[in-house]
Amino acid sequence: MELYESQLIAYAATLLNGDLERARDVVQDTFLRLYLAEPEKVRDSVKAWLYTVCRNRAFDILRKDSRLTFTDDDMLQSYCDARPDPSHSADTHELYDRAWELLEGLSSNQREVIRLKFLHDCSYKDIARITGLTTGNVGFLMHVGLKKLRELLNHELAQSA
Amino acid sequence: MNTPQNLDNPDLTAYALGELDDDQRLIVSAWIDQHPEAEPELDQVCELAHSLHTCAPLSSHRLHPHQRLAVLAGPQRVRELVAAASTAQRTQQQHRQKLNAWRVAKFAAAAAITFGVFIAGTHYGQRSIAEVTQASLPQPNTKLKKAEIAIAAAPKPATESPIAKPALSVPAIAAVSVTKPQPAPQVSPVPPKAKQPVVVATLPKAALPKEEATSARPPRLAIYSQAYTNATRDALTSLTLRPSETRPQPAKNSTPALGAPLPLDQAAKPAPTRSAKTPELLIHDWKAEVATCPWDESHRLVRLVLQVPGEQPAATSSDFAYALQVTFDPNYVRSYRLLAQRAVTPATMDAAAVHVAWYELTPNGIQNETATRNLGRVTLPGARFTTQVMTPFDGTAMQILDRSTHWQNSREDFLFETALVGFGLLLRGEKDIGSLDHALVLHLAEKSASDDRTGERHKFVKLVKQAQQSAGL
Repeated sequence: MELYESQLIAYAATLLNGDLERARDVVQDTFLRLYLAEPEKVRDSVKAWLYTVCRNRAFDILRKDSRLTFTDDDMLQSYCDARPDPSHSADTHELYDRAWELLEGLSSNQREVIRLKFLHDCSYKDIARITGLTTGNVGFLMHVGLKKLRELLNHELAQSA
Repeated sequence: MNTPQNLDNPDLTAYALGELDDDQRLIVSAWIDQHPEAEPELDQVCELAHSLHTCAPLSSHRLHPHQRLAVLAGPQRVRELVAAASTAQRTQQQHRQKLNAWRVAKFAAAAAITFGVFIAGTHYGQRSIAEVTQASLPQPNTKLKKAEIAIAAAPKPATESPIAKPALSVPAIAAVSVTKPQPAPQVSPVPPKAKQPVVVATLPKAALPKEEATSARPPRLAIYSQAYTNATRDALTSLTLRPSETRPQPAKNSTPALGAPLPLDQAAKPAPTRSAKTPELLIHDWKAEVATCPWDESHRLVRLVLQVPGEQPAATSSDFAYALQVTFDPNYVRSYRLLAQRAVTPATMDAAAVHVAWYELTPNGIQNETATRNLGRVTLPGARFTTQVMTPFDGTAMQILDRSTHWQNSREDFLFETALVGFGLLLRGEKDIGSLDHALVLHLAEKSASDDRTGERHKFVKLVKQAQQSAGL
């Protein structure tokens, strides 16, 4: 629990548009479901199992929200407002610091595989298991996502120069 | 695995990230040796990967203590959840069995009536209608409902004969509607010369479709606007939900064109009252939204929304009522008042009705504007969600969370409905409405009119302007 608690909350929060309270609820639910799970299914990779369940629960909540057509526009707005001015990034090193912020310019599935890889240290196989994609798809999304991210960084660099 | 053909290849990225197995790595490595132009590409991927690893935002968020306790006490909690789920499943199964038994009983009753009518028609088919009526029903004083029998005699006799309003029994109706075709002179009514009324059986009232006007029922809006209630003295308030009031009417074309008439002596009787216990109220979902009150920003406006399926056992009788209990936390809420309650009937049977309630709250003391506060909770005893989800949350209660949302940042639906409620307060000249006036209502309505698919919002804006002019403002 100590090992995955914070990481799972961060992961769920990204899926739930930054809603930390609901992310905590989801993570609590995920840990409780671990008790119900068949040991054979979990034994292979506890980490991938926890992320998979956490992801599914978060999407359940998002689906429920969309059924009622409630959208968290406030959170989206606050996110957009919180992005720092690009002119503040002067050199390449700072630009690389901004890589996580520029990640928002990618598509949602590209963002997710990159987060799972670099933020949560998941392998391609783990990511495939969590997201339900094939390993080949994960590799493709990662490749395209990193390529796009490099383009965005180059664009920022050109602007700051 | 194939050898990479160019630099734009996912395998090169996977190679740079160490995601290839030994065989694949050797193949890609050999290809890179032959294509030195790939090395800068790999370096860039490695550098970016390193940056993403090292600059990854750290998460320090933890579960709340009570959540942690719930997880650590997991096995016990899970046993409780499993027990609760199995109980709910058993209840649902019993309900389904009862429903099936009721359907079988209805089918059997319909079959028995049809068979009885057929037999009776066979026996009495040779007689004329008038003969049958006279022979079988010598009760002169029995009254008939207009919808059940139409008297088709042309001029009504001055003095009503004893057979003018007969009470038809099963054989009489059967002779009219179900008997096999007979030669015309035998089954035709009494000739007009005899000036005897012809009794024509029509659909009994119970079988007639309900009035069409009710199928397009407008949303029911009940404005309460109670005085403020002190949350310390009385933290619990309750609203009554009657799902039968928002039950959609069946579609017009679902009414059968032809119906076998019920025996009148049966149709005239009131429907048998069943002493069934109140069924569980099924709800799809519920939600509580909180924002600052536009006419008094120190107050909070709470909008509670429930989605209730239109077609369910709880909607079959107006006797079934459910209490939506709202409990405010006196630590955060000084006083509250119910502004309005609204119920929208769905257009179709498979859609859900929407129940909405608005409260205005006075927060208690000076609050930290950025913190999320739990203003109270909503419970609905006797209700069950249509989707059974195994969760650690208390599924029978909903928290009313105040995230300090300013009303200007609320959703358009919230703003528009706030304008509606505010306009209602103005029209009735309510007290304690702060800076609420027509201009504010107009501002709220116009701010929320961008997504106006039905045109109702622009109509409302026009209406408010007219009201403003009429008031001389």
